[in-house]
Amino acid sequence: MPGTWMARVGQRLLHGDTFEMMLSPAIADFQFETAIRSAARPGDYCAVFRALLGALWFDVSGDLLALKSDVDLIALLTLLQTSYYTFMLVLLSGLGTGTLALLEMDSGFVTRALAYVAGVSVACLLTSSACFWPPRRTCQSETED
Amino acid sequence: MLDLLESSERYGLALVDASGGRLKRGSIYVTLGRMEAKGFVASRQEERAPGAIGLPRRLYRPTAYGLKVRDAFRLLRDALALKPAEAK
Repeated sequence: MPGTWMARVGQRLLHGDTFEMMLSPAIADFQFETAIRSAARPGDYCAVFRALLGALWFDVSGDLLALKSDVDLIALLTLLQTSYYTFMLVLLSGLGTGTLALLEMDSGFVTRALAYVAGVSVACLLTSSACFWPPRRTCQSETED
Repeated sequence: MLDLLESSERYGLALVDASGGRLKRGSIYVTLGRMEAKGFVASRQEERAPGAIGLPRRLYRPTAYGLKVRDAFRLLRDALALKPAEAK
């Protein structure tokens, strides 16, 4: 049955209610139309794919808004992790120790250090956000089944 | 979309066909889903014959709240479309 793999992908990626409300009708109409015509057109696949992307954006934006309640904890976790890994940079640089520095202390050091801190901050923000990401909702009808 | 749904329950694909190209297949289901989440439309799955394959299709109809919002939007749109001379 055409569209079955897209339904599987959608079920893996989307919240249960979003799948039921947004992607499932698109795939059902696609399957119905394909059964009548006995062949699927590339444009039909594109329409279902666009519905999948739209539903995915609906879910992600909703989940990001749900993170607002935990923003203070996420900020604290990010700050802790960033401080830890930035301290590693300071140790590696050998600042104030008089030992051989692993990092070259040339004019571009500050730029590189800032880029490192920015990279570490983004990575820490992502991992901290993942800790508080809302759990995947399953559809009511799925639980009833 | 609510205008098209007012006359009868329709499938998403039927809405696209009835719109004469104004609604697109790729975006209508997400829009309908958002409208359902806001309470503008309600939907139900079609009744299927035993042994039918594929996912069940979904039928949409407007809610009373959705029609009120549409009427309010029409009033606002008409009011804003008035020229200053007509508004006096």
